Amino acid sequence: MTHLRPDELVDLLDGALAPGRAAHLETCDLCREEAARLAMPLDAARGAGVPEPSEGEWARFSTRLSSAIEAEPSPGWGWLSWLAPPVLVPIAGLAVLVFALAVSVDRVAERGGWGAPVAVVTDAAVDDESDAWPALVEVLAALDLSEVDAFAGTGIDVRPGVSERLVAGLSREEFATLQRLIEDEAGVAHP
Amino acid sequence: MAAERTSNWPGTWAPVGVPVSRTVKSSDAPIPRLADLDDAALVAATLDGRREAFDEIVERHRRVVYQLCYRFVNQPEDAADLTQETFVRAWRGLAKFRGQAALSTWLHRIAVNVCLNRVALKRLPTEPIDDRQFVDPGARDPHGDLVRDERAARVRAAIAQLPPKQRATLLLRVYQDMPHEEIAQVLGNTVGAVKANFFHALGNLRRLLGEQP
Ligand SMILES: [Zn+2]
Repeated sequence: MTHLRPDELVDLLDGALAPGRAAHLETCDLCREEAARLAMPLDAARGAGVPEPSEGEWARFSTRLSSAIEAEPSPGWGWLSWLAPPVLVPIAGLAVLVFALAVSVDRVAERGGWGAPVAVVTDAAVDDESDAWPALVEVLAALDLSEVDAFAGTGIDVRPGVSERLVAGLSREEFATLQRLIEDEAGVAHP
Repeated sequence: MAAERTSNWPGTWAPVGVPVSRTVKSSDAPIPRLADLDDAALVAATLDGRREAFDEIVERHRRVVYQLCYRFVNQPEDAADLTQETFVRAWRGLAKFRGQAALSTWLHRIAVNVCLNRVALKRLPTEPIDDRQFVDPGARDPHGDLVRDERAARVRAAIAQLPPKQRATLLLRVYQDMPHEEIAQVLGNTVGAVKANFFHALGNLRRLLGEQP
């Protein structure tokens, strides 16, 4: 019988090795040795605690976090809080906004949400924005972000579930990167 | 009785047709103490505008989030910074938390993504493990705190040298006790890849810690 594969050794550590394979383990010194070799670093990791911050350090942490939260819009707005003024700038922001709406509209609908925000916000935006807008919308609609190589190494994780992460909030840097990438992809000229 | 509270549209483009008020129920019943509320109730209270409910969430979870971040970067200042970032993102995304997982699990997801993003954005050097000095496992004295602390520090240092995905996998599996399936979701891997990463993480960790009798 073949030796345990890596995933089976991991199952063994979890106590979840398939019974048929456990029978092999009974008879195979090599596999038992391999399992023991993995158990050592696992035990070491489990036993290694982390130094606890002092009360003073926690107090400073709380103060800093409070200031950071104060600067944020209320979370009750959910994805709409993206529209807070410091976050978005006109044309680049629109690109991100449409993308955000595209990925979150299904979720809004799931929540029995607020009508058809994509259409509504797009209408409002078209009134305000430049000629680049219709082209941008078209490109964005066709854009499969998981296919955009430019995301590699940017720190923006593009994969199934990206909408979850986007709506869960991006840092300023990520936001700026995303704007730039979408603009580049859409062929929008930088000012 | 229900009271309607109106919030101002926070941005400059007020889209036509999107309701700009949300109905928040208030009742005559006494407001329960925050410490008595479970996480889901704290989330609801925060979304209803009770900012102090979020403080309670932070108070409850900051320690574990900090430990996760610390283990990722092995450095207290960066760990505090990443912990802050985690809670800021949690604040931003709180309306998306719908209780399908425990709040702690959701926070760990955010934390590990914040850590991975930081590593990617900073383009921290990830030297091949083979080029590193193996960490000396040091003397072992089961009775000495100092020796135990030193040993823990060596293990943490070794973990922090693992490639980011292996590190994230190991931390979520070992310290957060996250099932492989869930780690796969968090990291955008298949379950097979998660198990492989975990296997390699343990192998690398063993090598970094040095062969021990
Ligand atoms: Zn075998």
